[in-house]
Amino acid sequence: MGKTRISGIQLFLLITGFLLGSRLIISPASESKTDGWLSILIAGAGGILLVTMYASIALLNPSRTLVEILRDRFGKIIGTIVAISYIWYFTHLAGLVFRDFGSFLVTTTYPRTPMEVIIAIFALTIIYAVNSGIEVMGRISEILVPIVPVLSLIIGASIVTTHDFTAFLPVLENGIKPVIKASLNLLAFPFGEAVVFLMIFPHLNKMKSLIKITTFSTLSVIGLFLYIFFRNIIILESHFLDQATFVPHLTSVLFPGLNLEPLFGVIMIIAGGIKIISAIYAAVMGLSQLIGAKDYRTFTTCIVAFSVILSIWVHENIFEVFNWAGNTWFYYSIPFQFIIPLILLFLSLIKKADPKPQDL
Amino acid sequence: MIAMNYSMFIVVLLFTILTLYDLWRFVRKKESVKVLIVFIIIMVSSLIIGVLLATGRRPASPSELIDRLLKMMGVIK
Amino acid sequence: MKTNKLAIIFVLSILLAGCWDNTDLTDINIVTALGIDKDEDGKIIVTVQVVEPAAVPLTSSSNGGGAGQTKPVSVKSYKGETIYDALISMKSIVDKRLFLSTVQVLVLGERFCKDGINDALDYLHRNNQAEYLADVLVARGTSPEQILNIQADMDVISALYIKGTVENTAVRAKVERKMLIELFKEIKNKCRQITIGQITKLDGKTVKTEGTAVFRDGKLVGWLDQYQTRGYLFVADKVGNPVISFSAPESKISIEIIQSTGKKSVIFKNGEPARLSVQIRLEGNIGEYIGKEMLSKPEDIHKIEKMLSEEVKKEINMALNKAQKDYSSDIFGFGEYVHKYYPKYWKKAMDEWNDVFSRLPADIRVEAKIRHTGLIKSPMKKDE
Repeated sequence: MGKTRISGIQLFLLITGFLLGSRLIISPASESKTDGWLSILIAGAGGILLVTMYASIALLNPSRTLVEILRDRFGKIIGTIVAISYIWYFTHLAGLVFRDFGSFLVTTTYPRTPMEVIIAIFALTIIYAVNSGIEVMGRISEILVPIVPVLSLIIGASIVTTHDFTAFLPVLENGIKPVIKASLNLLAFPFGEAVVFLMIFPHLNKMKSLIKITTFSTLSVIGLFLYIFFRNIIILESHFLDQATFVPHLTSVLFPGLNLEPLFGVIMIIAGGIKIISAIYAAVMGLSQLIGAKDYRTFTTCIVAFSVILSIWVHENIFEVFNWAGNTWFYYSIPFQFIIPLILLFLSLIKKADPKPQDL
Repeated sequence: MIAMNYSMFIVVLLFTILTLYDLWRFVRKKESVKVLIVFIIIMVSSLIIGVLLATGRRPASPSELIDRLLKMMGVIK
Repeated sequence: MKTNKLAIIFVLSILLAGCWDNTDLTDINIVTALGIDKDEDGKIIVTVQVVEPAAVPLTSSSNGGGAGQTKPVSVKSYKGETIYDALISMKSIVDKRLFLSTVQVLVLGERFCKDGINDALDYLHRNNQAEYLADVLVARGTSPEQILNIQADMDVISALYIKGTVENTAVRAKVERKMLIELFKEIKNKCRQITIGQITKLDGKTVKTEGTAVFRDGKLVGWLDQYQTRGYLFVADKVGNPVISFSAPESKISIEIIQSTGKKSVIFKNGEPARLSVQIRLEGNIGEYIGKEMLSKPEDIHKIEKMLSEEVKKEINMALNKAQKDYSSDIFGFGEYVHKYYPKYWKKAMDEWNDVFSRLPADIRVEAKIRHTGLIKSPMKKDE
């Protein structure tokens, strides 16, 4: 555990890719129409706070993963129960991302290919990546994640032909309520999901710069979300935004004379892949620490298999997918993303952790 | 009449083979009993759910249960 | 090790079978144009123009050559309850799967448009094959079927010929080029009424794309002629390089517009809209001048600038009048301005905006600048 390390830049890119994840398909804050930028800013501010909270927990409990912290702080029995629910949460998260990914590809590119097959083939790659270890995951993100913003920027810059820069007006047309709702959703998906990284933070080689890294990657994600939002609203206009199933995809097919759709698929596979890898890694790592297995790889295959099955099981149709992402997920996530980490932070502040015996 | 989903079957089969291969390795490497038990539980549950899904008898999913629970608590409408 | 190899072979074989959606070029009918109309009973008639790539002559010289047996383009129509229904039922008369991603032109029929296009185009938006960049046109005085059936002599594939004429006239601002995606946007947009370019059939070989179909609440209500269309496009800020001709006493002048920006707004008084305001800035070059006077002094240019702006103003007035008095339809998108800057008022007045719009007087200001006069300064004439 103490041997594998990832560098700051790798963690930065890993978090960035994770946060972009499937939010790239389900466009950020399209519920609040023209006020989406406001939602993104509010959610972003909250997101920075949340991610900083997770980072502080990791700093106050050096070299410990979430499962270990939970057992330290809550005692063995409660700690184990909470840890199991977290493992479930991570697996569920991976399954949901698998599903988003599958729905997207089936709707846009492969209408006749069964979704199970797409997800399963993708899952085989995920197993390989997770089994290769955290260092390889770090390097994957180092190579692939920079492609995402670059491609997004290229796609955006090449499609914006009309320059209606007042498209985001009027401000607060329907009052503040839908804005708050959209920003809470955006806070829970993706920012709060970064709780997954409590399993990965201990791998960072220079813990001192942790908060700097997390803040910086959250900021860059907010920036990219804002960019995507303005791109979409300028190209598609607000009336049209909530009509499309996959907004960013729709913008990508508008480029005249060239089919940018595959590029968008690439973005999707990278960001979604990074997200699933991180979630699966967290679940697998947590489970093996809980059980006391020698190697975290023990459970990779069966957890991935389970989350693939889960991804097909969770929702019957695309409306459920969106309803879940738009309504239920936030409430379901409150204990995992907010309450338990807050208690952990509180307990950790009261009593600083003793150095871990085996690290001495 | 049961609606069979053959591609789902293939997927379930694929992952069953992969996990069984893992299991066989663990038995040979003499992993602890605890590990084996948890592994088998997860494997069997995903196998059961997978087969149920493939044969069209879909049990209520955890997401739906959570949805219902939250609705009962009155958090969402 | 052996099992490992077996596993790899197994996985690879699955990957090989992965692509369910593979379709070969020989298994599809390439659709270049799509026509949608309604018959008297309310059934949808879908017309497709299918291209047989093998029969398209590669060069013009091979026209009478070996590929002459099969026609490169064939047109088929079919009736159905919905567009999708008609397209699928059409499979009983076409030999391969219809491939819609190559559609260049979408021609809508008059009756179809009069019944409302708001919900009728759902399929084209829902289907992942739909080509969002296809040009949409409304056939006036003829049916889409007849338009697609023309035997164009300018191009083997008449859809490409039609698309070419649209591109040409759109630059000259006599027809509005509307792509399918823009149409979808307008259908969703409550602040602006739909307009679509107009197409008419001249003879068996030629079509003309000029003018605009005006909609109100998704239903076709009337047409703008080519000058009104230009006036409308000036306001909508969608003109390319039109040539504007007008005659002064003893002279005729054609000006090529090189740049034009149009701004529209609604002036509010006491929380109610009081006036429409249109501001146009033009820059142009003299393209042709037939007359006696020399063009040498800056004052001459100013005179022409004045005449040009009057002319543009006249066209805009015509378009505005038509839209306000005859059709009562805010095709210019003044509603967008209201929605953006007066959202409270907009919420109240959203549903009767077209009527409010029709009542408002308009201020039109056109600022025209002439930059260059071409290669010669004075008109072609004998020195006296």
